[in-house]
Amino acid sequence: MIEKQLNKLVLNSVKAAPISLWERVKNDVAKSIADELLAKLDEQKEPRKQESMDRVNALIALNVPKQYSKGA
Amino acid sequence: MVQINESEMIARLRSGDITALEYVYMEYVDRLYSFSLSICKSKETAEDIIANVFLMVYNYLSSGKQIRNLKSFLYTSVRNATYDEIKFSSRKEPLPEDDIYKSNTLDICEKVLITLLLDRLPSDEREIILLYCYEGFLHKEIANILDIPEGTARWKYRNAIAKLKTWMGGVDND
Repeated sequence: MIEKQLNKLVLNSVKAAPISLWERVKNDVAKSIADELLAKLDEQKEPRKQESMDRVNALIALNVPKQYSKGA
Repeated sequence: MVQINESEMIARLRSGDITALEYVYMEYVDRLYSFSLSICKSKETAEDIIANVFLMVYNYLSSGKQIRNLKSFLYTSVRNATYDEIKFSSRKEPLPEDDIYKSNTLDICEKVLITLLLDRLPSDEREIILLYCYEGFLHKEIANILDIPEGTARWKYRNAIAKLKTWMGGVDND
């Protein structure tokens, strides 16, 4: 048997990957994209969260002395 | 074998185009799967590896990184991932006889025979034969993928071909 025939035999012995495997790859990629987007959204929310917390803290700081002064 | 425009596919993948991933996947998946299967002998492991490698390639390129040779990158990644998996796991299931072969140009006896003969080769020689036959990689490229000198890759290829010829009982005509 000549080398070229042997090479062709090897090439033709390729086994087919399961058809469902592409669905799995596609789902994994979609999940990865979704995770990345959620992470970005969280990053964007973080400054807002901090801003809200700052406002709440400022309000508390303003209100607490009044409450104490009322009671006093 | 249809040749895809790799640089175009890489550019599209870098922009996050998932249809480009599907195109690359359809082009290479069967040969990559067979390559991994020839090393690990486990369908489940080979499937896990292929899924992880394609996800990794997508994330790698869509995050702006560059790949010079996609085909070599895929084979190197699949090979490394398969050996990593073997290191951490000893699971090996015997391949069922009704394994689906991609090509219909050979009869089932020839396919089974060549698969059995390939399995008789030492793993490094088998990998070289598969890389050479599946993708037509040059010896230099094979050497890069396997991280061995080019001369060694060339020598192992000749050695493996000689063994296969002997086992097939054929006459050396070339």
